Amino acid sequence: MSDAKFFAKGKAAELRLELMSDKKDKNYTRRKTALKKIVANMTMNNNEMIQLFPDVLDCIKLDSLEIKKMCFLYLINYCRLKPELANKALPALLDDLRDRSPLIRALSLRTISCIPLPAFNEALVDPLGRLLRDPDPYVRKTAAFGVAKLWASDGPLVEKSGLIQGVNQLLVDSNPTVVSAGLAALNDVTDKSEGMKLAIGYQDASKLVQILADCNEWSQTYILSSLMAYTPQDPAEALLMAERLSPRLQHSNASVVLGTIRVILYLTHYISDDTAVQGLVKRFGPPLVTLLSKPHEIQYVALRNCLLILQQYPHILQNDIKVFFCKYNDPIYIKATKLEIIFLLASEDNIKEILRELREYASEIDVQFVRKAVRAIGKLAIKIDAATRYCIDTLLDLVATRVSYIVQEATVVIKNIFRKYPNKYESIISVLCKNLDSLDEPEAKAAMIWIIGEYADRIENSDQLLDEFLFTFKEETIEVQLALLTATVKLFIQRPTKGQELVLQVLKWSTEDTDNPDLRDRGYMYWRLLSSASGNADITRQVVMSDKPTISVESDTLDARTLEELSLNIGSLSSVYLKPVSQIFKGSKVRHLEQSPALRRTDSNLESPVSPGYYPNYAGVNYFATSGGGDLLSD
Amino acid sequence: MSILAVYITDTNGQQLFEYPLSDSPPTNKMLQVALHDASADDVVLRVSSDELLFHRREDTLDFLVPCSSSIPALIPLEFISHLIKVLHDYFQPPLSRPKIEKNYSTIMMLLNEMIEDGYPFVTEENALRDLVPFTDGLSKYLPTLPKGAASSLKSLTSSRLSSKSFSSDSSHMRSNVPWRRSNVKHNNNELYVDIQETLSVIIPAASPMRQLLNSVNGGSNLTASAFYTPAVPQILAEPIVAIAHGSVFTTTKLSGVPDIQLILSFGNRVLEGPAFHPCVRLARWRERPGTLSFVPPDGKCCLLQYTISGVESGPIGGDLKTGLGPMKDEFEVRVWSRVPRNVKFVENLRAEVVFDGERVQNVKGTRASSGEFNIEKKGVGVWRFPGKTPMGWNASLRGTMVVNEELEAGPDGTVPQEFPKYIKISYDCQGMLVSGTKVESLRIVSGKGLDDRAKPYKGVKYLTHGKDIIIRG
Repeated sequence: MSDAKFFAKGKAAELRLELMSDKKDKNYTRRKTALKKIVANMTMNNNEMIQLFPDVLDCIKLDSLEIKKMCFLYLINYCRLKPELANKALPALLDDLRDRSPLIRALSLRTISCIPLPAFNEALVDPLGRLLRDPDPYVRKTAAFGVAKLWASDGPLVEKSGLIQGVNQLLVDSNPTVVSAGLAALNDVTDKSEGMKLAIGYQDASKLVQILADCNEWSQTYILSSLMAYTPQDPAEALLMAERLSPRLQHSNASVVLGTIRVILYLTHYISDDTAVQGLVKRFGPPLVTLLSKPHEIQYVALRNCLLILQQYPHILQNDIKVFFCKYNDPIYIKATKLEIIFLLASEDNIKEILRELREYASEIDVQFVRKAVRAIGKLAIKIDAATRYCIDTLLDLVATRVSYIVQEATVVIKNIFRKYPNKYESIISVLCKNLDSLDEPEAKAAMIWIIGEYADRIENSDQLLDEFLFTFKEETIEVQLALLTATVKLFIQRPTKGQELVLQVLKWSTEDTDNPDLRDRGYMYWRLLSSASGNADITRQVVMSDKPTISVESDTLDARTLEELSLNIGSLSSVYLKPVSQIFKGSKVRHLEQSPALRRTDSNLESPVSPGYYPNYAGVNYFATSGGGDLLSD
Repeated sequence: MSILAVYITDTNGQQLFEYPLSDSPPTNKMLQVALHDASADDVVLRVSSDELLFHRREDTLDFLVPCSSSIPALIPLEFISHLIKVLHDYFQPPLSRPKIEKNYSTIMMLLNEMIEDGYPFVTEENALRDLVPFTDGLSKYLPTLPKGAASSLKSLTSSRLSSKSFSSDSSHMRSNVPWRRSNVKHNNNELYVDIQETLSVIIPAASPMRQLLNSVNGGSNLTASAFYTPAVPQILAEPIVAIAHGSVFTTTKLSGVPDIQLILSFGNRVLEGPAFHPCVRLARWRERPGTLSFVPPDGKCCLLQYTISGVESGPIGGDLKTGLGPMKDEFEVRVWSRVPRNVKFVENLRAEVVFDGERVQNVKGTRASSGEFNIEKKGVGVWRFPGKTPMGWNASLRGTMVVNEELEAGPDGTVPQEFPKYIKISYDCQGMLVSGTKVESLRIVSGKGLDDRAKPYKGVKYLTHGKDIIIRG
């Protein structure tokens, strides 16, 4: 039977008839079908169905779980539109909270807690306290979530009811699923709350780790999240905990794997033994590689997190570089991230293999990716001194293809190579000069012009080359115009006779014919400099041809504090964007390492950005009563 | 951190199903706007200052899951994977618009169990079958069990959910096998093992230098191995990457609570990052790698996933030559099957010829020694070999790319000839695993509720799925 047939307008009256009780409708087949139609229509936002509210409510009492479920879905969907009618359903729902069947108790509990109406909220408080201690674990876990939902809809009501303490009790439940539900509920409440904070002591954390293996995958993710609320007080304790967690790295659920990595990375901040830390972190490699066989979206998140972990621990995947080689049919977001990882993993030992691979990417069809590959080659030249020659050879090989966008991209990166290694690889300038025609992008033009200006005395026809660029001066972007101005001045300083005519022309254009203030100001400054220092060319030279700060690729890597914050957020969006949470979402809670005698002193946490008393203490802060040494999780 | 809603739409963004989980989740319309504005590399979209959208396309449907911003990204992404798996289990793949429309109320009830307070909670198919009536293609809607004894008697005859399982259905949380459906009963006890490996290979372009070197060294020796005898002497480049991603599945239809030990051998290979189903006892594996000891969920389950790199390049080989013919404008693709042990044929063999669709207008003068070659979309020609392809066989395809006339000439005044950029070969090969992985033994250690005389183990199937055998041009 197809629900699709159920969409027919003007059906409300007809459906009402079908819902009427009828002795012939023995297994409620007819009414069940009618309800299916109503639910289907509701899903498709056919608001005509709201007319049937009283008729649907009449069916709640029928002795069929499936019918009940559909009535409840209806109720949840329309309760806000018809609160007074919804309230009428309350007595029946409350009756069901005492049903013999745990499934029905749980179902009705879940339904009531999903309805954010004051009458429902208030009516739930008392039974909820009882259901948190229900003999059936399925009901207890539903009750735990019920408290979180009730809190979201009426926080003060929950806080004065003592229900939070009730959930707290679930943390010592004999059933692991109930424990994790309790934790998830507390996590949810404390996440949204200003005043409350989860804190877990060693004994309790240790018990959570113990029950981890008996939980389903999602429960494991909640327990792993809440373990971040445990602050190790002793390095040995932190190490033991990390050791015991590491089997979770072999779970088939990717969110369990990344959740485990997050907790272990967090714990490493409290472990003093470096060798032990390295040993732990090394275990991340293989599971991360295995995630690369998952769907693209999951692969992407895994790769972004690899990137983050590699910044801190570059050696963990050193031997696996090939698994990050791109396939032409990978989506661009995967390719781009793999490329960044390849760049991070590059070293003197594997540089030749990597350059062969990057050279291959530079002949792909996807222009965006080709450009990224060429850039990566240029950056490698700067990153690994010993490999610069190979990188330049590869770039020259690419320039020889004479494909316009490759030549342009190569020009840009070669400029950076000149900045890193001044006066070293000038022989390649002549190759670049042969390809001036193919430059039509501002960035590439500006880069080439910079090279000409910088090496004006060594390029035989530098004046002619600049003159050619100057031909279109007025049409260029400001970036190119500024580059031309500076390069012409440099030419004049190095070869006054050849540059004299050009420099006058450019200064005139820059000061008289432009409405761009930057260009005009710079033009005037050069002009004054050249005219006032005319007697002392050395001063002008010192100013214009000064030594530039050397460049490195380090500026691309994250600073220690950001890295630390990101590593506490492994798996979250901020680890995907590689940006601190506060930059992505304003007002979100920033994670930081809690002070403890075991906390390793690093540059980033020497002065803690947040004082320990940052979160106002709430009476029930220590859900796990850490003070008593906490044997709370045992019976 | 929580899931705010679940939407299922068709690929045009038209809403087929909606399941709100919060007061006012972003509507499908808002999500469609966000998707429309997104660039290709936005896997996770920001819908508003504190809302994210996770999405995935499967079959012909889009699954959209808006979430609050603090959620760990893999939770919704894994949840979508699980949801798709559950829907496949309930309604058979591939999913389609009519299947969704036909089953609104069941999907509603499933999500009602799968998500609790915005968190994924129960996503195991086995546990769900205890909670939500399962309908397969054969039976109609099964009545759910009412609490009255009279009606439950009736339902016993027609339903696979017995009243007993109904009253104890929450006990699965108490048992130490949360992944196994309670009170499993089968008339025919059966157990199958399936091991599948997905093979990805990247073969570099054959440079003239390498060809020369190979011929000096005797060429074909490089490709001969303990496994294969090359059917055609080839001068071949060594693959840069050859990775097998393996999955070990069991399909168990066993009554009671069977405890199983499955021993695998991986030859001398190193298993990288094995990932296990929760039912596998990790301690046993650590004691003796290769030993899977477990109480399985009922039905199909993926016990183990693994990665092995540096494997053989598989039963099918291929190469690409360019610049052939009197005008030096022809290319030739060759594909051949090697002769591995115990394999008689491969199936669904095809070779995609990938070229620059902007620069190439057409492919002319194609001559295929067998199979059929057609341009199927911009930049991709597909060379198909329907049915079974025998071992020790080979085929070749020759042709010339017609360069788009509107292209600008290069600096030397001519438009350069275009050739294929990549060849991508794919196939299925039953009866062998490319890594050489094997089942050593399978034993039912104990089977509470299982007949002692039963010999349920029906054997193992090996399948190598050559997915991306990429030859670079």
